[in-house]
Amino acid sequence: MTTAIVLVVLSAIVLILLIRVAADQYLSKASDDPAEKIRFVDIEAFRNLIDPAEADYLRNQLPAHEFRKIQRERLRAAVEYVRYAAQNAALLLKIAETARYSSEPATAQAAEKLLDNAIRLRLYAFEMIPRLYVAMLVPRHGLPTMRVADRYEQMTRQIILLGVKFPVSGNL
Amino acid sequence: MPFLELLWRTLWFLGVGLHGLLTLVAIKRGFQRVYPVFACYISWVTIVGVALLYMDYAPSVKGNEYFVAYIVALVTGSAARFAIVYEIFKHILNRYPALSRSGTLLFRLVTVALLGLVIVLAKLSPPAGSDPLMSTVSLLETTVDIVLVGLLLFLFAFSGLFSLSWRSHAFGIALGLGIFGTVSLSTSAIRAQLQPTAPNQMTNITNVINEGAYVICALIWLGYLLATERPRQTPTPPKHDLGTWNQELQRFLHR
Repeated sequence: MTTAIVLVVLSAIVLILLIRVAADQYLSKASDDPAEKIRFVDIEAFRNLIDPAEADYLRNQLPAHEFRKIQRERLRAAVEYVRYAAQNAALLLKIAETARYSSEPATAQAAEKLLDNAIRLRLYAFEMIPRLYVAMLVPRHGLPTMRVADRYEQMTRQIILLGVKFPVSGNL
Repeated sequence: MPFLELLWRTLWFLGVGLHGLLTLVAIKRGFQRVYPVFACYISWVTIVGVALLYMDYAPSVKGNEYFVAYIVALVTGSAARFAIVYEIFKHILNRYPALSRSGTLLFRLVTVALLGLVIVLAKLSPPAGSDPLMSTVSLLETTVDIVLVGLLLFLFAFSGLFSLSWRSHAFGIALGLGIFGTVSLSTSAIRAQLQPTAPNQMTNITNVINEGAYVICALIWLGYLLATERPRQTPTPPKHDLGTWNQELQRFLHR
């Protein structure tokens, strides 16, 4: 009987979730502009936080316990940066998604590239966040690569290209 | 005839009629070119629905003949529902080539994990009821529903995680299938546990719920099918945001 009860409860939860998703989908048609929610991400600061050379320098300069404490703080900040970058990528995906159907081929092409990069950035971010947490627990563990930062830079350039092509009067 | 039996029989007729209407609308709108598996499924469900209705009322049809037809409908319908989920997933991935490889791999992994889960659940579930054939059918229905609901959940979670947009038709199909799957999972789990040997109040209640879900599912699909997919509008990012992005560009260019 327990299995049946568990399955009934689980399916009721899934049903509620589905109804919520459907409601969100319906309401999102009239939602506000995603571009307004984009947060600023300082790529230079982020690169510095996950730079192995910077970590080595700190390791040599600071006592071990002090280094571990500071490195944890730095990596925690890096996680926040990655989260913001991933959130921005999600918002840019929405912009690119609508722009890809533009009648202007150049805009549509720029949107396709942006879409591709935004998805890749989110993939890297999902891969990078757990690695940053591992690096927080084991400070000697190798730091994740710069792929998120690189992809974010590419994405930034593409959104500008896309923005320039938008018919906004007096932009840029 | 008790009220509940009358109700589920009415809903059964209504569901078959709605699926017939759905098939006509889908064919008229050329839906079979975009979603061929879904179009085949609704056509098949209509044909099978009419056949089962006839067999249920025809005095010449024996109980075991109806049972065979029911099993054929169950197996083919379940296989088609899985194929529809895959069809929707492929539609989403086709629009996002960057996710094609990882998405397909994840889909396969989730399918294997769900199959593993249902095998374990089937092993752990104590045998209920006196009829081994009915026990097997109930177990089959439950396991199929678990995998189907699991895959649909994965589909929604995956697209939510990557903020992928759905074409409204694909969303409608998945939503209808999800609602039908969750309701069917509940009722099949109850039936698998209680194993009634003859129709009673409980079987009538589960039949009403099941047929009700069948009708709701058809109405959702009909609604999404009749709604035209609206052309997307080109957004106009606010001026100040473009300025910020431009500053970033200049910073990169002069580095």
